[in-house]
Amino acid sequence: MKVEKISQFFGKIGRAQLRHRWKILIALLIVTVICSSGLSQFALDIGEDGWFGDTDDITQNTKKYEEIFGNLNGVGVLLVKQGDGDVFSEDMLKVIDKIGTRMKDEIPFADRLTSIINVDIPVGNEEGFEIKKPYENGIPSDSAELANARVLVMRGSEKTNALVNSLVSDNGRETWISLSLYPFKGKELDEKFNGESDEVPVAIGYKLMEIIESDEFQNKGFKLYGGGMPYDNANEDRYEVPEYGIRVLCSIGVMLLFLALCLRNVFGVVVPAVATLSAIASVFGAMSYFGAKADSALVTLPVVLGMALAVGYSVHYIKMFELFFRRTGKRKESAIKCVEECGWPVLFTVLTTMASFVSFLFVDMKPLEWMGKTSALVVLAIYLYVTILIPILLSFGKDRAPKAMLEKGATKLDKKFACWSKFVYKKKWAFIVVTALIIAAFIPGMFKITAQLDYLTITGDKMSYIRETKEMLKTKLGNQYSYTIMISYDEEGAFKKPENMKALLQLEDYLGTLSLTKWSGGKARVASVTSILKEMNRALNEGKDSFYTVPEDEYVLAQLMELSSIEMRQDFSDAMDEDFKTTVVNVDMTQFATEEALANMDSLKAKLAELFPDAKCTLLGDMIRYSEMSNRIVFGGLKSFGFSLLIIAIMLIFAFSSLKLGLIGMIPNVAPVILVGGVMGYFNFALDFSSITVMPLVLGIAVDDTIHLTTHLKMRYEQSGSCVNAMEATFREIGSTMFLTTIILCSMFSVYLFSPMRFLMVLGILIITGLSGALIADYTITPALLHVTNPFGKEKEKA
Amino acid sequence: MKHTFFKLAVSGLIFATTTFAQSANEIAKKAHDLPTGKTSSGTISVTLIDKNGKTRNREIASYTMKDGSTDKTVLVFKTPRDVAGISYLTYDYPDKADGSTVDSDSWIYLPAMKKVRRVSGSSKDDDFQGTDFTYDDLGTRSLSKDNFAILGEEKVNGVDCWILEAKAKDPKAKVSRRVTWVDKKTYVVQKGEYYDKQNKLQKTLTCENIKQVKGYWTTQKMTMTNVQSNHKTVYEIKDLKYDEKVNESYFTVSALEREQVK
Repeated sequence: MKVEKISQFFGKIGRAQLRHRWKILIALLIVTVICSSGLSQFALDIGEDGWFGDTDDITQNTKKYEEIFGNLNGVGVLLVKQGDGDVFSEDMLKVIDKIGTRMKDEIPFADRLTSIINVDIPVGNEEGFEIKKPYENGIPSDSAELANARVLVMRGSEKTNALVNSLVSDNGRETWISLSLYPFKGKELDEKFNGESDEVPVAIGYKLMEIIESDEFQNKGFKLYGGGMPYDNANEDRYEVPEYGIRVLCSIGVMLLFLALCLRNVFGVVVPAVATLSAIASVFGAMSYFGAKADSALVTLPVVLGMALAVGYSVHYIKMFELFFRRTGKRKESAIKCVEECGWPVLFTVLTTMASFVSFLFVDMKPLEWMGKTSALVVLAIYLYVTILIPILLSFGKDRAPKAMLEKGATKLDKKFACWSKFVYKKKWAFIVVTALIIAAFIPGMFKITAQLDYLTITGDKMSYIRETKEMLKTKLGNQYSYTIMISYDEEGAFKKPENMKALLQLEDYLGTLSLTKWSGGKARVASVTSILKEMNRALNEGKDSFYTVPEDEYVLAQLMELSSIEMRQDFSDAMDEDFKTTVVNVDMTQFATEEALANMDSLKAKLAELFPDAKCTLLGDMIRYSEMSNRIVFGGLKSFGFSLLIIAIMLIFAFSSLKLGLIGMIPNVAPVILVGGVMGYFNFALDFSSITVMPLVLGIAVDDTIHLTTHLKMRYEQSGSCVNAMEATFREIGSTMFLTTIILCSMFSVYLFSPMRFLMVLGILIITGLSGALIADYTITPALLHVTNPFGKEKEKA
Repeated sequence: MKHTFFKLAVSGLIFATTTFAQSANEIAKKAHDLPTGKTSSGTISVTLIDKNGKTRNREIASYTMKDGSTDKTVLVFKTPRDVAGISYLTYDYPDKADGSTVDSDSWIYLPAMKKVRRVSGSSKDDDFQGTDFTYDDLGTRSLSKDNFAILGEEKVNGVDCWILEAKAKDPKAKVSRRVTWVDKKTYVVQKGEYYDKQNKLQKTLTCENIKQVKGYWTTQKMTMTNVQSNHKTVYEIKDLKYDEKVNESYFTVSALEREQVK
C-alpha cells in the first residue's frame, strides 16, 4: 500500500473539509448538543454487584439464594466499648437499643434486627423450656437485674453459647447490632427509589453512616464501626468518587497547561480543549441515553485517556500545520497539508488504540467491558472531533510571509533529533543487544505477577475509611468479608437425616481449619442451623450442657427440627428452607488474601464434594465474587492482551503491506509491555481491576508512535529511496512531536501518581513506565531494527 | 403463651341490629366479646405458601373447652409425619380487673423424646406455630392495649362494615396499627390490615366462608399475607363442632404424656 496515495486521499478529505467548513461546524454542534444532553441521565455504578452480568452464574446463584432466604446482604454496627466496663451497663444498653431502633426505623428495606437487646434465647430447666428475651421488659436500672440479664446472655462458654464470640465478645466489650434486609423490590422500591434497585445499597449505606455519625452516638465511652456491602458502597461513593473528580480536574489542568506550553497560542489551547471535552461529553451522554452506567472505579480512565490522546492528536496536526505554515505562509494550503500528512497515521493509531480497548470485551466482567467499550468510543470521538475541528479552525485567518531562517521549517530540536538518527544508525547493533538484555532481565519479573482483589490492600491506608475498616478488623468480632455455602438436596426433609446433619457438623469443623476463617477467641465464625438445634436440644433437656449437641436419632432430630422451625421460625428460616432440603452456612473471614482465598476455595469445594456427594453445593458472597474476579482478571487479562497483540500485529502487517515490517513494528511495542510486566512482578504491583488495563492500554498507545515513525519513514523512503536519509528526515520532522506527545501522555497520567488511592497511583506508575519505555524503544530499537532488516529493500538514491 | 384459637374465627349470634351510631370503643368491645361455644373441636389445616408459591401443609386436631373463666386448648399435630403427635396444652386466663394480662400456662409434648415440657416466655405478638398469624391475630387482644377509632364505612364481602382502627398504646409494639373491617350486623371481622412500627403495611387478612355453625358465626378460612416478605398462611377450620361433649381429661398434662389425644 503506497503511503503517498493514501496521503493524497486524505488531502482530498482536507480540501472537502475546508470547502464545507460552515456546514460541518453546524452539524457537529447539533450532534454534540443532542448527545451531551444525555449527560443528565449519567449515573455511576457503585460496588462490586455490577461486576457480573444478569446471566452470570454468580448472579443466578445469588438469585436462587434470595428466592429461598431473602436478601444476601445486610448491614451491621459493631460497638466496641472504650475505657472501663462492658456493654451490659444501663447506659450502653440504651445506646445499643437506640442504634437498633434507629436502624430498624430509618433504614430502607429493614427486615429483622438482631442485637443483645432483642435476641431470643432458648432456656431449659427441670420443668420445661422458655424462649427468653433478656430485656423483654425494657432495660433495667437495677444493678441486680442488669447482672441477671448479663448472665443470661453470657451463660456458659463460647463452646456452649452460640452468642458468645459471635454476637457479643467473651469479655463483653464488643457487640454487633445487625439488620437483615428485605429484597430490593416491591412498593418501597417504587415509592422511594423510582424502581431503581441499583440505588438502594448506597442509600442504605448512607443512612447507616448518618446514624453512626449522629451527635447522640459521639461518645468517648464507645466506638462504632459500620459493616456490610451497602455501607462499603456508601464509603466508596463518599470518599472515592470525589477523588476521581479531583483526578479528572487535575488532568484537565495538565492538558490545558501542556497545550499552552506546546502550542503557545490561544487557538492551540481552546480548540483542542473544546474538541476533547465535547467528544467525551458526547460519548458519555450517548451511553447514558442507552442506560449504560459508568463504573465508579474505572470512570476516570476513558476521560484521562481521551484527553491525553486528544492532546497528542492535536499536537500532531497543529505542529504539522505550523511546519508547513512556516515554510509557505499559506494558511489553507497548510491546513490541507496537515490533513494529508497526519490523516492516515493518526487514523491508524486510532484504530490500533480502539482495537486494544475492544479487547476488554473478552474479560467477561461488566466494568471492564464498559471501560473497553467507552474508551474505544471516546478514542473514536476524540479522533473525529480533533480531525474535523482543527483543520477547519486553523484555516480561518490570514496568510503571512514564510519564515526562511529555519531549514525546511525545522527547529533546533528537530535538527538534534535528525543527528540522533545518524547516531542510532552507527550504533544499531549495540542498541539491539542492549535492548535484548534489558528485555531478558525483565521477563522473569512477569512470572512473579500475582492477582490481588483485597480492596483494603488495593485502595491503601491513605483513605480514612480504609484505616477505619482495618482498625475494625483488629477487634475480636470485627470482620468485613464473608461467604455463604448453600447446600441443596432434591429430596424433601433431607436434613432430617442424621447422616446429612453429621456431614454439616463435619463441614463446620473443617471450615474452622481454613486459614482465612475468622476466629473470635476460641470460636470459628461459622454459623448454621446447628447452633439453633443445639440450643433447642439443650433447652428441651433441662438445660444440661451435655445436650448442647445435634441429636443422632432420626426421629428426635426430625421432631427437633420441626419444633425449631415453629418455635424459632425467624432464626431457623435464615438457615434452613421450609422443606428441610436446603441449608446455608455463613463463614466470616479475616481478610481477602487472593492467592490464599483461591486455595481455600478449591479445598472447600473438594470437601463439599466429599461430604455432600448427592447435593448441589453453591458458594456465594464476597469471597466467592472476589475469587471469581481474580480468576477472570488473570485469564481475562491474558485474553485481552493476546487479542490486542494479535489484532495490532495484523493491522500493522496489513497497513505496511509487509509481514516483515509489521512484525518488526511489534517488537518495540511488546518491549514496553514486558517492561511493565517486569516492574509489576519485581515491585509487587499485583494484577487488579485497574492494573489489568495497563498492558493492553500501553500496547494500544505505544504502537501510535511506531506507526507515525514507520509511516513517515516509508513515505520519505518512497520519496528519497534511501532508508538512512528517510530516517533522518523522519526524526527531524516528527522526532520532537513523538517526544512531546509522550511527555503529554505521561503528564496526563501523572495525575494518578498523587492520588491517595493506591490502585490509581500504581496505575500512574505503570502507564508512565510503559509509555516512556515505548518512546525510548521508538528512538532506539525501532530505527536500529529497521536499519538492520531493511524492510523497504535496498538503498536506491532517487534522481 | 396465651391464645384462643377460635375467638377471631368464631363469632356469636347477632346482638342487635344497630340503628344508631356507636363509638369505636363500643364496636371494638362487641367484636371482642362475641361468644364462642362451651366446647369446640375440629381440624385446623395450616398451609404455608412461600414467595415462590411453594406450599407446605400441616394438619392440627384442636379441642377447646371453657372451665369457668379459663379457656383450655389442646392442639395435636396430625401431619406432616415428623411432627405427628407433637401436642400443645394451653390454659388461658382472663385479663385482670385493671386490664393487664395474665400469663397463660402452656405445655408441649414431644413423642420422639417422650417428654412433656412446660413452655413459657412466648409473647402474644409472636408467630403462631411458625405461621404468618400471631397469637394476637388469632386470639383476643386485650382492649386496654389499644386506642380505637372509626375510619369510615365500606362494603366488604357484600356486607356493610365499619372500618375500625386499633392503635397500639405501646410505642414498641411490633404491630403499631390494626385496621379491621367489622360487619355492622354480626361484628365479625371481614378483612384486616396490619401495620408495622414504621406504619408500613405488613400483613393483610382476608376472611372467607363466614357461616353460622350451630348458631355461632364462624370464619372457616382466613388468609394472612405478609406483604413485606411475600409469605402467606392459609388457616382453615374443618369438621368444626360446638357444644358437643369433649373428654375433659384431654386437657391435662398426663393426657399428653399418655398420647391420649389423637
